[in-house]
Amino acid sequence: MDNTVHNEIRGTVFNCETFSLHNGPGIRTTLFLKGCPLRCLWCANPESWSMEAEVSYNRELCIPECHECEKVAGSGLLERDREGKIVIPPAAPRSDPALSAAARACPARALSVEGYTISVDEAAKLLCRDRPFFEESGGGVTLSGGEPLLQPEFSAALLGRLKTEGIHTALDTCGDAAPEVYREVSSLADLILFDFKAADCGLHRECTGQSNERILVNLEQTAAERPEQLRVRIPFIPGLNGTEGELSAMARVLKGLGISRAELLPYHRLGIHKYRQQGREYTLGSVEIPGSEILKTAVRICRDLGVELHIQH
Amino acid sequence: MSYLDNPIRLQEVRSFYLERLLKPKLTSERADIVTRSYARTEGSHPITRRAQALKDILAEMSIYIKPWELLAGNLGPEPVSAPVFPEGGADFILEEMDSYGTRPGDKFEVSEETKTELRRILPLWKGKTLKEYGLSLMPEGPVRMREAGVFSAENMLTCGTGHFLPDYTKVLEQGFRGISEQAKAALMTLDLSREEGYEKRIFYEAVLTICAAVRDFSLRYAELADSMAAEEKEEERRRELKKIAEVCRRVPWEPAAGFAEAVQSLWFTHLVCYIDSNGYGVTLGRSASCLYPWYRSSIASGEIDREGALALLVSLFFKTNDILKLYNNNAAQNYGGFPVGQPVQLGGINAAGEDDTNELSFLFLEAEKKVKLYQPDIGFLWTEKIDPGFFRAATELVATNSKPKFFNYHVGSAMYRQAGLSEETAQKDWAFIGCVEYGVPGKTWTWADAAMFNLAKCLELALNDGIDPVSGSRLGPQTGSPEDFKDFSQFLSALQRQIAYMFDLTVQGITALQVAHKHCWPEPYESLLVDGCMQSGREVNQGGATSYHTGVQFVGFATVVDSLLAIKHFVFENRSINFRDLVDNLGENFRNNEVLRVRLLRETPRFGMDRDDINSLAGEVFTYCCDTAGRYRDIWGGLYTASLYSLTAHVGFGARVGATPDGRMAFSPLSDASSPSQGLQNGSVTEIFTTQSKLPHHKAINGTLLNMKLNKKLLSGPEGTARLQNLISTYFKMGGFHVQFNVVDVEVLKDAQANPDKYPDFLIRVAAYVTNWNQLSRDVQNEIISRAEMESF
Repeated sequence: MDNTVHNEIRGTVFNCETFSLHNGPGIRTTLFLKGCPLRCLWCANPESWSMEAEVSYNRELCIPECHECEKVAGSGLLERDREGKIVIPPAAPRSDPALSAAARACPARALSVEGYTISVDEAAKLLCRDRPFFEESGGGVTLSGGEPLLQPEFSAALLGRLKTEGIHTALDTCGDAAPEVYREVSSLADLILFDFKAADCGLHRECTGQSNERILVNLEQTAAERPEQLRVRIPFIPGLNGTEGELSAMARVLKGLGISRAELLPYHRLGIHKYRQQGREYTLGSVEIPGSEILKTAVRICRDLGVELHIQH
Repeated sequence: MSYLDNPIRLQEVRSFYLERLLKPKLTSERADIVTRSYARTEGSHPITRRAQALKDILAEMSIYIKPWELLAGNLGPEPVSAPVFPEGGADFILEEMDSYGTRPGDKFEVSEETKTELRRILPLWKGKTLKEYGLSLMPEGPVRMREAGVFSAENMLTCGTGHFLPDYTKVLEQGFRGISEQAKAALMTLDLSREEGYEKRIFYEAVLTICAAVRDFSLRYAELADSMAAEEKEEERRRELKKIAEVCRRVPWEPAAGFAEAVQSLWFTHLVCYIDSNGYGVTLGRSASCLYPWYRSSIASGEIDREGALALLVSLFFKTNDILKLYNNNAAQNYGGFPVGQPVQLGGINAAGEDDTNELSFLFLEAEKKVKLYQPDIGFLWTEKIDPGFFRAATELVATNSKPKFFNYHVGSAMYRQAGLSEETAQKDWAFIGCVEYGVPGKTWTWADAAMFNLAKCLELALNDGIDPVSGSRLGPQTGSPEDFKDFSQFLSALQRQIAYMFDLTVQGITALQVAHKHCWPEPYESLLVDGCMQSGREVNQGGATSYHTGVQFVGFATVVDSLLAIKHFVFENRSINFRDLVDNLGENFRNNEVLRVRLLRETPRFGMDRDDINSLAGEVFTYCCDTAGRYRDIWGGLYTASLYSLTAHVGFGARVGATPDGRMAFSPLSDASSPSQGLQNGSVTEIFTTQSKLPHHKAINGTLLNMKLNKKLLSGPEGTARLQNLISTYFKMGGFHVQFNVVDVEVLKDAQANPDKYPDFLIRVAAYVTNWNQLSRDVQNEIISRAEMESF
């Protein structure tokens, strides 16, 4: 592909994190793409789910005497609570362009728009900024999300472009994509960070809303063809996949694919406030944050089955 | 096995220091001795009086050797206590001493007995102190500006100069005997038929007095150690005490003959600076290099082993924490946390042009690992040639000790060149003073911290046509009202005129103080340790040193740059805010327009974002400050230089400045040092490094300082150390000068949650973003605390 084609492809993203230390080797910049096929109950980035730009609202920042959003939105779209702060009616779609326009007028950033589009060129320019840090640390760029494979053209073009720039790339994926799409995009990345959420198909569906069928196919493909470039990551959620039975099942799957090492990402609730701000319900409120004893047990279970877990805090 | 080889005892001593450092004691002994001495020397030449006073103090002050100490020499009558220097200023202590136990920071315990003594002694000094003399010399302009918070020169107002890199090597090689012999020889050649001859005679005789006084001081310790050894039951300790006695019988009078003598000699030389002058920032400098020849010969002769050498360094490190200084209430705001700045500097380039890391450099890090207290600070002098293992060892310390601070040696060399020094000196001698300041080891007599200059106050004056909105009175020149400015460049010129005007008055204030020091507080002891004085026969404050320097710190840099960016953006570019309205709202501290404030706060392009227009404006303001300083010379002909460091003056000065166009509330802290404004997402870690590296650091000859706060979690394990090394070396390869890290751990997080007001600018990484701690809800804070606690696993 030549660059003129690249120029026209645009992707939807919601964040670009520099000095990212946990998404591959070295100092990295991680670009978060918007849109995800899964709805993992523990997801810390609910703003990543939809492909569309959506409005998020942090009530604490709203200034009652300010009317900037209403000047743009007109009356009817937004309401006020007893303290005079803005309320987005539950029925109002967060992707409504009128709401987005109102959010852009908010000086306090109480209302904000999650998600914007960016061209491959613009993204490459942004992502190359920290090149001196990448070179010094053996780092690079990671595409994450959401799910980068939901925007395969953009992801492929961007990965290809970064390769020509000589920048190391990693693809952070849940693996839920058509195998041919998965193969085409992932082949352009130097490293694949593959999230493995459950071995049991029913449990996978319960936790993420989707079957793990395609995921296992894609995982197998990479394990067979590019084992050196594969890193499996397991989110550890007590009571869901964090049971002895499920952990053992996952370890057996990995072992069967010749994978003897995985990263364990312990459950956390750092994204819980985003649910409130986006008008969503967080359903895992009662799950305990795993303590060190539980994690040690998980490590032991998998080690007994030949898979070494590395806990990433 | 020496005392501190036992880890339990080591911890006990550490705890003792930590507890004492929370509330050290103020002591009156020195005040009493110096008062009696000055009464006896009334009518003598000031140089003679200073020398005699030092002699009397060294002869009479209480001395001790604690069970854990392998070195002798103390400042106050007990560890971690501060002496009083009434000759610097007495009135403020009388007024303030009842509040020292309860003031917000830098608390001191003052016993009733001490208070009674001080109430007896201090009134005797009325009309005779450096402070009163200095203020009497100061013209009305600088007096008013100092009172209005335009500049602050509190340090030099009440104490000696400090802030220099003494020539320790000279003492180690020649001993005070060698210096004394030079003075004797010089005295023989003086022409006493000329005025100059008399002045030199006064100086050289003072040198003889001082050298003998220092010798007798060390002999007092020799006797004490001997008598303690006679009483000591434990064999090991008895042997150590005898060694102390043996060493103190020889040094610092004789040249040092082995490592133990070298360390002891260095400590006495250093300590006496603090006993004599109460300055701060007497810098240990590149001690690993200075001591290395003695280390090598003692190791070779078998006189000492690696462990023995480490034990001496540990003792030295504890000792540096005994050095304390009382700041007055006003200065304590600008110099919060007892800064006495005695940094050791490791790494760098040696005379052969190679990496200057040696075995002792590693031992210094090991000593720091054990002692882990406030002092000594450690400066890591990074170079392209630095030993990678040493770089790693130093970086590993950051997570636990928040030390060392890191310097780019090559930019340091460029600062030396900018100051006009020779290429050879620039390449092999670079070292900093105190925090980050300029001076050549053993060569320069510096007023590196002559004054703090309130850049944000100048901005406020430019916004108000020279009127101080806080008092309503005119301070600065009439540079135009908001209505008068047709474009941004006109406003920038107005700001520059205010800066130039105020800087001139600041220089006048400093000059008054330099003249006061020259007449009233000569420093014959320090003169021995700076090149030129012994040769010329003139004391440092009379112009005897070969090189001089005066530094002024510009405070509130990012606040001013951000405010300029706000004015440029909102007033002159998109014209969404009327300049007059803006200034009126600032005057009202946004009382009636919170919307405007948040707009300014959130939408102002800010220093720290990597944009060409921002970087270029920041560079322009930066260069203007440096050039303004560079137009002046001090009373000895030395360069005036600029720096961007603030200690805690950004808090003290912030309290004097109303609301600013960047959305900052009235009287809240200004931005610190050269760092971006606090508490705002002005850029990520890498972006801050990138933008900082684009400042022309070498022009700020007196140094720039970047504070970074990092979550401890980021630094854990070998990976964390590697990433930190990557950050630092990338920053330096891009042209950065200095960076230091505040590392935050669980206890701090908990404290920050319980006391949010204590942490107004606490940035923390939360999963995919960095934010201000206080902007997080309590539940997210709890999450972060629980995650941080998991680290122990």
